[in-house]
Amino acid sequence: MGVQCLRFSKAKRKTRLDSPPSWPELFHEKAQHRVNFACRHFPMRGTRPQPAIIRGCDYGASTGNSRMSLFEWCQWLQHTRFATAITESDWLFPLIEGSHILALPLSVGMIVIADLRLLGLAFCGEATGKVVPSFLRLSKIGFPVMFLTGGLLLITQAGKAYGNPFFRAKLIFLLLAGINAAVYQKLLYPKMADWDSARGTPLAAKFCAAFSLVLWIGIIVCGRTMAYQF
Amino acid sequence: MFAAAPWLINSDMSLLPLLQAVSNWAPIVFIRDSKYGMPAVQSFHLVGLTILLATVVALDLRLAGLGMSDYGLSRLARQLKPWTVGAIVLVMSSGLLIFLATPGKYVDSHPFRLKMALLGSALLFHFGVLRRFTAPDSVARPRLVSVIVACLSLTLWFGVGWAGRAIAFIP
Repeated sequence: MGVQCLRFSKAKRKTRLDSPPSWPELFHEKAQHRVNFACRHFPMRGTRPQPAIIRGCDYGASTGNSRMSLFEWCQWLQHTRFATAITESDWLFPLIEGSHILALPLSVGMIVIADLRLLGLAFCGEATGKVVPSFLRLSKIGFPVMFLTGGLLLITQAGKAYGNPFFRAKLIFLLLAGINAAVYQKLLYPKMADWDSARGTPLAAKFCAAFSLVLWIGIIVCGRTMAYQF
Repeated sequence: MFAAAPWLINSDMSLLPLLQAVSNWAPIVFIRDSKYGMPAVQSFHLVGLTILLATVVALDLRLAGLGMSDYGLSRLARQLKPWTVGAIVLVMSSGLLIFLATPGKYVDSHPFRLKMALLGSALLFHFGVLRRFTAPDSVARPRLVSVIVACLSLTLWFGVGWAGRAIAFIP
C-alpha cells in the first residue's frame, strides 16, 4: 500500500513538473526581483540594484584604507541575502518585530516589578528575598527572545540604525543596565536574605533598583523613538 | 469594546465630525505635529503594556502552577492588582491619545476592531472570571480548569498585543 502511494505521488510529480524552468530563467527572475525591489525602495539611487552598489564600493580603498569601516560593514550586513529575505518577507518582519515588543513584559516587565519591590513600591510586606528572585527567574524566559529578535531586527536595519542617536543611546543604556545588573548580582544579591530580618533594604540596593528602572524605561523610549527616524 | 463594531466606528459614522473636532483640538494637534510627540505617547503605551502584561503573566503562571510557587494565589493577586489597574489606566489613556491624534489610521482598520474586541473580552475575563479564581475564598478547582483559564487569559491579552502590532501591517 505504502509503496503504491509513493509510486503514485512520484508519477504525479513527474507529470506536474514536465517542463521545469531552466536555471538561467530562474536566475534572471530572481535578479529582476532584486532590481525591482531596489528601484522601489531606493529610487534616488538610479536603476542599479542596491546590493550591486554595496558590492561595487571600494570600502575606502581610494583613501588608502582597505578595511571596511563599521558603517560600511553595517550597510553590507543590511544588504546580505539573509537580511533582505527578512525585509522583503510579508510576514517575517512583522513576526520578529511583534515578538520583540511582546517579549518586553516577559523580560523588562519582570525586572521592573523586582525593582519596584526593592524601592518599596510593590509587594510591600512580602519578603524581598522571595519576591526579587521569583521575578528575576521569570525574566530569564524573556531575555533570550529579546536578544534573538533584537539581533535579527538590527541585521535588517543595520545601515539605518548606525547613525541614529536613539539607537546609540539605547546601546549605551543596555551596556549600563548590564553593568548595573552584574554589580547587583555580585555585591548585593547574596546578602538579600538579611534585608527582611534586619534594617530593611540598604540604600545601595535602592540606588541600583532606581538606576535599573530609569535605564530600562529609557531603553523602551529609545527603541520606540529610533524607529520614527528610519 | 463598542469600537469593535464596524457599524459604530467607521469613516461614514455620524460621530465622525465630533472625532475630527477632538483630533483638531490644540493639545492633540501638538502631540501629532511636534517631532517627539507621538514617540513619547507611544513610549508611555509601551511602558504601560510592559507592566500590565508582566503582572498578567505572573498571575497566570501562578494560576497554572508553573511559577511564583512561593505565594498563595490570592496573596499574589492582591499584591499585583494595584499595578495591573494602574497599568491599564496608563495604557488606555495613552492609547486614547494615539487614537485621537491619528484617527485616520484606525477608523477603518480591521486589526483595530479586532484589538478593541479582544481588549473588551480580556478586561471582562480578567475582572469577571479570573477574579473568582484568585479570590481568597475561592473553592479548590481541578488543575486542568486553572490551566485552561490561565491559557485563555494569556491568549486574550497577548492577542490584544498582536492585533495592535497588526494595525501597522494589515489594512
